[in-house]
Amino acid sequence: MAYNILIVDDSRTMRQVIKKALSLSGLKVGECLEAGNGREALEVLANSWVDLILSDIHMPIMDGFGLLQALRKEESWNDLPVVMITTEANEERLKEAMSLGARGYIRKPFTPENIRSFLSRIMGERDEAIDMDNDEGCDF
Amino acid sequence: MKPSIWITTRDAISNVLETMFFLVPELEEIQTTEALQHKPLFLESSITMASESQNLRLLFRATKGFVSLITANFLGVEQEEVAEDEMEDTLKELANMVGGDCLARLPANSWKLGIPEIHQPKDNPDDYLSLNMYTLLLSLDEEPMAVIHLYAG
Repeated sequence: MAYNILIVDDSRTMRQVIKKALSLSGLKVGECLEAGNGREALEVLANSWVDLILSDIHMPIMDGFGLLQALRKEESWNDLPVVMITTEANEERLKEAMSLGARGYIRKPFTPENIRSFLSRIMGERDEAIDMDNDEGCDF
Repeated sequence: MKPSIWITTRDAISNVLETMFFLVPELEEIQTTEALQHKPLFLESSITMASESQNLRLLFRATKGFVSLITANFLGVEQEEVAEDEMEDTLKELANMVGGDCLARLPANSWKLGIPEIHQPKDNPDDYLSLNMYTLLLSLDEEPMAVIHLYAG
């Protein structure tokens, strides 16, 4: 299964680099969508199918925390895995992101291998959960 | 005695340049920017690192050759293909990642990283030396490419 991934970062160059790292990571990536801040990300989500969000924390207009809060409020999005890709070093701030629903974080600088191992685990857990949900009530 | 943040800054610069830009820089502590006298500086980026007791600024001042090289390596394209806005964005990201990596190495959890900024370089390369700061010369294959300052402000 190929995953549609939404990359949210105010740096266009960093979005390109993350896209490239994803392509080198060996993960099955379908469409790579982009947004420059949390608000733009919500607009993309309203119009596209997304399996995973990779988001920066520090962004103008709506930052990563604002995006996490907005996703939690919307029932159809609150199970969507969000992984922060960030330079944030403060553990308290990272814990705050986790408490708002982020599945984890990847610190910049990163390698394609960091991305692959982290996302494989996150998406593997999600796929297992979906398989278990699908098994429930099946009567073959 | 040098503050621990200065020691970790050196490590963070090496780590970020190696991991994200595939470069192994030579870093030398200097007192003047004489080595860059015949190499005009092209761009500057900076970021603040603040704790309850200190407010520091990390400043990168780079030649065009360095900025175009890191941008090309960052994006995986040829140096001739990089655009000016991509170079600005990349130098900003360099400051951002070095600042973040540096703070992640410090035991204290109270530092806050600012938003990276881009500036045009000052005319006189020694302008910053009047500030009480630490300065590193960054070279690649013995060729001076950039200076990095850390100072209170």
